[in-house]
Amino acid sequence: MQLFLKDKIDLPLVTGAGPYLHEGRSNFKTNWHTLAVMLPVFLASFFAFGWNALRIYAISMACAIFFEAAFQKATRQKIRVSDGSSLLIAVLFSWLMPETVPIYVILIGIFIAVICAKEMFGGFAQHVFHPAACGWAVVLCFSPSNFSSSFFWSSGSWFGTGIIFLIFFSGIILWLKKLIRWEGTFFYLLSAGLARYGLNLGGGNWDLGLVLMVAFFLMTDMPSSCMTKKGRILIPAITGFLSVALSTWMSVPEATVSAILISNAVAPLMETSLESVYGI
Amino acid sequence: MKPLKRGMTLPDFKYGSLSTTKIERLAPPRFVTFSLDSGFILLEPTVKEGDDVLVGTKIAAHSSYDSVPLHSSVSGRVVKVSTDSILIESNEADQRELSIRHEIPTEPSQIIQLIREAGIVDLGGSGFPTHLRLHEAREKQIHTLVINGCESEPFLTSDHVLMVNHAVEILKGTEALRLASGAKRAVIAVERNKLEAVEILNTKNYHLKFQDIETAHLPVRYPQGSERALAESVLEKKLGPLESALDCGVLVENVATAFAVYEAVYLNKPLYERVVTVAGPCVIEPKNVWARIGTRSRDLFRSAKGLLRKPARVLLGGPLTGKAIADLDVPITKQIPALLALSDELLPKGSEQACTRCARCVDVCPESLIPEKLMKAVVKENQSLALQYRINSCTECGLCAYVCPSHIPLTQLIHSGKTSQSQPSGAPSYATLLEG
Repeated sequence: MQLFLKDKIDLPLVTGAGPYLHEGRSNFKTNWHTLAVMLPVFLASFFAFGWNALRIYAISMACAIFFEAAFQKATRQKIRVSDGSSLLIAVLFSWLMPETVPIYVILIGIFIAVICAKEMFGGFAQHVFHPAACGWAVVLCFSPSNFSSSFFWSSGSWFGTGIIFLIFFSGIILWLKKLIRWEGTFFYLLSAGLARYGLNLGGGNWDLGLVLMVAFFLMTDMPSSCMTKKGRILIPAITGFLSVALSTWMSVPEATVSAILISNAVAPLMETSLESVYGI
Repeated sequence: MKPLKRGMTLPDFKYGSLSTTKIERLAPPRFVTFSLDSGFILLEPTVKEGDDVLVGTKIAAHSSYDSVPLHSSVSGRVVKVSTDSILIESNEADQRELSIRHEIPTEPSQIIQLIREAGIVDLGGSGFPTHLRLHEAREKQIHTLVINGCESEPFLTSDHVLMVNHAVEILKGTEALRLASGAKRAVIAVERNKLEAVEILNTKNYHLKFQDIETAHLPVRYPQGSERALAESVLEKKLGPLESALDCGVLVENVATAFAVYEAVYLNKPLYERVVTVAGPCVIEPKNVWARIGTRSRDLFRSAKGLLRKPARVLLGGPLTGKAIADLDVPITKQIPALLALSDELLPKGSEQACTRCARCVDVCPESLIPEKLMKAVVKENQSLALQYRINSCTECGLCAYVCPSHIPLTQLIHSGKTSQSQPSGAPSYATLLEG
């Protein structure tokens, strides 16, 4: 009353277009919450591999931040390292690395992932192919010999099994926190499982940890997946089938991640071609 | 009843103005300002400067049948008449224009005529003249009249308290609207946070015995009160993308409109006041008031004991569909349900970022549009792409911008795209280039 009668309100008041409420989500929060949910897997890998895990994580994270900042500085953009997107890529990339990977391989992979697959396409969330999968694919072509040993969760020990469980657990939390959608994961696992056990495809390498990691962390990547409802179901289903089929018929090494890149390439086409009159 | 699947549940913030369900009657304001531009037809003043007017005197009209007249809400003297507004100074006597009492009409054409004479428009927000919608409904031979008492937008409680206080009037107004529109049944749809209103309506109807009026309660979900959402709920089927609710035989009107129709038909009283929620975190005593049309926002805030602190935005209408005003002298018009003073902590924070294609806007859109595609089409000024993705189906409920984690002003962009659709663009099309 006091304030109003003394006319302390400065006019004109601020105007602007509505709506004037907001749910409160932001990309910054989404990235850092995802990183926080990944923390159990992150910590568990230290128990499993000790210094090797630390070496891979430290190098890939430091490189990712450095490359992103350097690129943004060089192209005179605002430096946006703090949004956590390059850290996310670095962690996912490290999970795709074998235990004994040399340092230069990590450097090349992170360079491809952060600079070529993310920043050159326009920065955060503008990528067409998943950056971590891209970096991994290039590194694999460079030095296939390094990838003969298996991934860190499939060491056969009880650590490996524990980490598989932790990945599943983190994925469920991601879904409960509404950071990912259930469709991508569910239909990917469904179609991969059907292809493997229903159609009896694939006696090749079926790595449960890798499949779960792809299902929860790579398949659910938002910028490279479909926005429409049909696409959200079809693309993961195709990817799941491809990941099993490629490893069986064509013996493509590590078909699980290759299938992701193929599906990323067809996702935009799928989104426009499956467009009905009703929108979605 | 099939409730709305899309949309989302919003924090409702309704507790402030619901501390009492009383609707406060205010002393007539000293000055009232009437805007002659109702958004459809610019009215012509029928009074001169210096004329004496009473409450309910017709002060502006237009010869076109599509327009509704405007009535004075105070008794006093006309101070100023310009091409788009009329200023009246009140003498605080509050004398009513005497009207000859008439028989209560039962013929649809008589009711529609009375509704037009009383200046009734859609009080839910669009402000479209009600008699035109009734005529269209008669032409299309509708079967159901839905009275919208959902009020799903945050902060708004004006329809809620109106239903609690004036259930009999709303039922009688609904019956009049049902007769006028030729519908076989009428449904009063209310959200479940207002179950006592449903109870009161049912109790009153037990004695009034309007056999064709029923009540329905729907889950709390925004925007359940939109025309298509209600039509889909009542018909229990999905409407086609280009079908309107009227095409499917459903007419949707607001409860405040039903109340105004009751007053026009039974009391011969023109529409010169309405219930307005004065609320928001900055208001000292949020409440619902009977606000005369033309009352300045300043006077309404004064009736709510003033402002606690400096408001970040002052809105006419709800927080998702309303408009921010720059000046506290802006008057209340017929279609405005609320006056809100929002504080800083509720406003969206953060700067605009690039779209991450998270598809949350796709999930919540009640019209099943893809706001991201529309946004890109509008930014690139690609009108054919915007039309392909049905830009004109957008009801501007504001949910896409509400959920966007990148803080893209989707609703504003789509609105600008819609307005540029209606105007021919200056650039030549491909056809003319080829012919030239």
